[in-house]
Amino acid sequence: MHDFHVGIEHITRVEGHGNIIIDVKEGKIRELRMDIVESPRFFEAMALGRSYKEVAHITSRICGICAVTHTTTSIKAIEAALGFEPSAQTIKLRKLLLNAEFIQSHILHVYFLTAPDFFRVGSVFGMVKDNKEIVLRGMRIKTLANELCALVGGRHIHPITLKVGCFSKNPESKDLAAFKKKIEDLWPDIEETVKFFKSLKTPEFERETEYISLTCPEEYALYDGNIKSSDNGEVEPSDYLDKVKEFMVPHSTSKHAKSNRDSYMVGALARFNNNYDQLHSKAKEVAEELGLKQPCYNTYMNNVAQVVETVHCFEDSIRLIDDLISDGMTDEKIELPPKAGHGVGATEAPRGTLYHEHKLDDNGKITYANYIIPTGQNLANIENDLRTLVPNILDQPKDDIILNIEMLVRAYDPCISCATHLMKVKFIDE
Amino acid sequence: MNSKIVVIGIGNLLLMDEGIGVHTINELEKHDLPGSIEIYDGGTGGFKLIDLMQGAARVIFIDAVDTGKAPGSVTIFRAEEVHSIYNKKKYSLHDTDLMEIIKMAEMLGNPPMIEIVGIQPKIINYGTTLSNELAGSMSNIMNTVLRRIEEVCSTPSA
Repeated sequence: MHDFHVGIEHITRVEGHGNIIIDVKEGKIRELRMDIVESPRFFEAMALGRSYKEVAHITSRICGICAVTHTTTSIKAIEAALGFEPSAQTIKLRKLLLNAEFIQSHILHVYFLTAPDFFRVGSVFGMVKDNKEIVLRGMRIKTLANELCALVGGRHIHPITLKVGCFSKNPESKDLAAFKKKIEDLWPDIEETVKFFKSLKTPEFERETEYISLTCPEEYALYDGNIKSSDNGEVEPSDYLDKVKEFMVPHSTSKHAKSNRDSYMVGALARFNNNYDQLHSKAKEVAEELGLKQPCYNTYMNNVAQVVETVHCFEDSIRLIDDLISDGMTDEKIELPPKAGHGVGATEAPRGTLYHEHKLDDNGKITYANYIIPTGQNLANIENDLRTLVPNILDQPKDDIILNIEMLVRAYDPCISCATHLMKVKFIDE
Repeated sequence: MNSKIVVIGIGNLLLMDEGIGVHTINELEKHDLPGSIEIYDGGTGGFKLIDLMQGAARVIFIDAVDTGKAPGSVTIFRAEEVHSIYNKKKYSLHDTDLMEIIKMAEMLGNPPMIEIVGIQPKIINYGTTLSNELAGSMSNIMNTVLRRIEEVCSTPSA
C-alpha cells in the first residue's frame, strides 16, 4: 500500500484530544503526528497560593490511576523544600503503596487494553464474551492490589493517609500479615498470567532510543533515586531540567520532551533497560521466560516489562511487609512548620518518571509549581517509533496496519484524559 | 437477603461542576444515613469503582451528566435507558467512563441493581469550586438524593 491515510481519532470526553494522523504518499510519510492534550499544565496554576499541607490532596485528584504517585511526588517535593527526611518506616509504607499502584495499573493495562488486541476483539468487553476466565483473573489480581492500597492508604481511590512528614494512620501489623498470606494464595494467578502472556506473540519491532528512569544503588528504583539516561549517566532529581528538556511543537497543545537525542522513552521498558540487575529473583525468572532481555529495543515489549514489574512489586511487597512487621510500627506525629524553600520530587509512576517541583514562601504557600508527566515525555518518542514502524508495514492489509499502529501507541500506556469523564446522555425514548 | 446499598459519587474535584458527585458525597457524610448504606468518594477511579460495587444489592452513582436540562437539574435513570455511545477506540486506562464500568460489572456476573443520579453541570473547567448555579442548587440536589435513598431503603424494588 503506497498511499495510505489514517486519522485515528480518539473521542474523549473533551473533544479533539488524542489523535493520530499519518499520511503516506507513494510509500513516503508526508505527515505523522500524535496529539494528546496534557492537562497538568492547568493543575499547576491551581496549586499556586495553596498551603504546603494541602497541595498533595489537590495533585492526588489529577489522576485516578496514578493518585499514589502524584501524591507521593508532591509530598517529596514539599519535604525537599522544607529540608525534611522522612523516617525509614514512612518510606517503606510509601513504597508499599506505590507497589500496589504499579500492580493495579500494570495488570489493568496488560489485561484490559493490551490483551484484547491479540484476540482482535476490539476491547476487553469482547474478551469477557469468549475468554471470561482470563478477564476474571486480571480482576482478581487488580482487586488484591486495590486492597493493599486501601490497607495502607486508607482507601483505594485517591488514598488519604499519605501526608507531608509521615502517615496519618498506619496499617495494623496483623492486617499486613494477613495480606501477605493473600499474596501467597494468589500466586497461581500470577503464574497463569505469565503463561498467558507467554502465549501471546509480541509484534517484532526494533528502534533503539534513549531510556530515562530513576536509578538507585540499593534497589530497583520506583520510589526514589537519581535520574539516569541510558546515553549519558545520572543527575540528581533537583537537576531534572538538565535531563528533561521540554519543547513546544506546532501540532500539539502538549509539550514534548527530549534529552540527549530528539526523543526518549520512559516507563517499564526504560526502567528494565536501566535497572534490570536490581529486579527481584522471580521477576528476573519471568523476564527470561517471556523472552525479555536487557537491553530490549522493541517498544511493544513494554507490556511484557509491565508483567515483569508486576511480579517484582509483589515480591517487593512481601519483603516490605516482613520488614514493617519485624521492625514494628510506631505512630508518628510529625507536623512540619512552614518555611520558605524550593524542592523537586521525582518518582516512577507506572507509565514513567513523574516530576513535581514546588517553591514555598515563608508561610508555606506554593509560589511556583511545575509538573511533568510521563506521557508528555513519551510523545516525541511515540512519533519517532511510528516513523520507523509505518514504512515497514505498508505491505500489510489496512486493518493490520491500523492495529499495529494502535498497539504501538497502547504499548506506552499513555495518560490521555484522566481529567474528565463527563457523560453526555441521550435517552432511548427521545 | 443482601440489603447493602452503595452510593458512589464520582468526578474530578479539580474541574468545577465535574466534581459534583464527590461534592454530594461530602455533603452526605454530614447526614445520619441508615446502616445498610455505604457511601464512597469514587473520584476518577475508573475500573477501581468495580471493587466498590462488590457485594452490593444496589448501587447508586451520583455524577455530572449532560442531559441538556437546566444546571442543577437532577435526573435519575438506569444504564439501560441510555443509548450506547461507547464503542470507541481506547488507548488508555484513563479513558474509562461510567457506562463502561457498569457494562463490565454486568458482564462479569451477579451485578447489583444500578442507577445513576445525574446532575446537570454548568461549568466544566479548571477550578476547585462549583459554579454559582450548582452551589445554589446544592440543597435541592441533596433533598433529591436523600429522598431517593429513603425510597430505595423503604422499597427495595423501587
